[in-house]
Amino acid sequence: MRFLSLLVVLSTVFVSGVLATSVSAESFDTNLTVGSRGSDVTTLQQFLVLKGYLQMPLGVPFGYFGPLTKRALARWQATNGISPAVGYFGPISRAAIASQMAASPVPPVPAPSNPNLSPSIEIDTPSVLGMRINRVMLFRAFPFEARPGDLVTLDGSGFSKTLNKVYFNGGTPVTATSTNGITLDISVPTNLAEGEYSLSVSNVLGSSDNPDIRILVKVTNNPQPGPAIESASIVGDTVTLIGKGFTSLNNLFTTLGDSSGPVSSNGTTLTFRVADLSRYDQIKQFTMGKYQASLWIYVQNEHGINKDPYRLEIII
Amino acid sequence: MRKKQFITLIVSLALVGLFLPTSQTRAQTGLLPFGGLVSSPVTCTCSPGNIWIWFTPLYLGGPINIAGPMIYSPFSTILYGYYMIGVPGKWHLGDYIPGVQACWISAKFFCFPLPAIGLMSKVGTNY
Repeated sequence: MRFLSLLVVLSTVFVSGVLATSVSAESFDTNLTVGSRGSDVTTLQQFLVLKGYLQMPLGVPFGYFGPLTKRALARWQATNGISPAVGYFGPISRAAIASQMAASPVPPVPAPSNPNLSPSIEIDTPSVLGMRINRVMLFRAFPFEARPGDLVTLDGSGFSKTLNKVYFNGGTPVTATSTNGITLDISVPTNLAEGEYSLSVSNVLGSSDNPDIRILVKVTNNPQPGPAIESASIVGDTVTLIGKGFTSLNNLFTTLGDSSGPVSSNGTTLTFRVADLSRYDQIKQFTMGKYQASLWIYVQNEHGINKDPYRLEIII
Repeated sequence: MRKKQFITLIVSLALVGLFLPTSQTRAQTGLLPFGGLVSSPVTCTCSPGNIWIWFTPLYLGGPINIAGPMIYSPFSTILYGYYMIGVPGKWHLGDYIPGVQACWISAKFFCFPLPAIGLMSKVGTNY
């Protein structure tokens, strides 16, 4: 009978917990200011993150109203005509956010809608799972080396189905369309001289320009293919990669971190120690040789990087 | 005594039935359950807001002890209490969509996708 009672209590707690969470995510009960804590603060922060006003620092949990939240809220208030825009979450802001949340519940489930964007823009720049929907972002060009006139594929997010302008060092743009919002095929302009060019994409969402991140393509009449990994094996903690396009100076990027220094190769074989990867010690202290994990591997050198990572199962 | 056992069995089956629709929904939408302990988070520099989180252990329902990464995205993941997302030493429990890559990392003159097992669709943490 004791078991029966336990089951009933557990199920009641589970159901009431789910309901409580759902309700708290859609309404604000109190005014909020610096020092406030709780689920209302979390909901407000998620709203501000979604709108692009707040970026939570790594390792800082949601739920505490600190100076970052105050500044983000003040920016949102200024944008939405709420005065004074000082970052105090009072009745006017509560009502304004509640009305916006009614149009777009927080947090959104996959393929969210954004009330700041008109329906035509949302259709034109398809939302991508896990990506901010109101910004165009450029991640890479592949291949890295190309001749004038060659086709290059750009990976990113927020690309338009109807009109994107791709700039090489800010010069005369090439126009292109995307079918899925995340890839863009362009031809390298035939009038470009050899050299490295910084790329950016502009469309109805704005520009992908980011002062902290440069996305380059190398225009050359003699392009070399980037590295390609065909097979891999591990003995002890030494990984051997077989492939092509390796050079005398390669960098490794993996799910256990980067190589601490350049890794040399004879062109087709490349070896490195797992213990030399930057996150290895940090993760090994928890796994202690008892866990299976996938090690995804990229090799990068002056000719580019393998587009898809090679996956090697290891015990760590 | 046999009557008590019978009642217990019936109530237990009813409780199991209560959770069955959730399982069916997961199967239909491609969502899978996961749970794990955070050991190392990484900021996705090219896809800001997203966090790549390494779990040790990571429970996906199989018989082997595994460790590995999942991605949290404030634009797609529903976050439940206690909101300690990506904080080392905190347990996480939720659903994920396998194979979705949403963490891009900057390196030299490009960004590359830092692979993960999947994208969290919802997650809760301990306090």
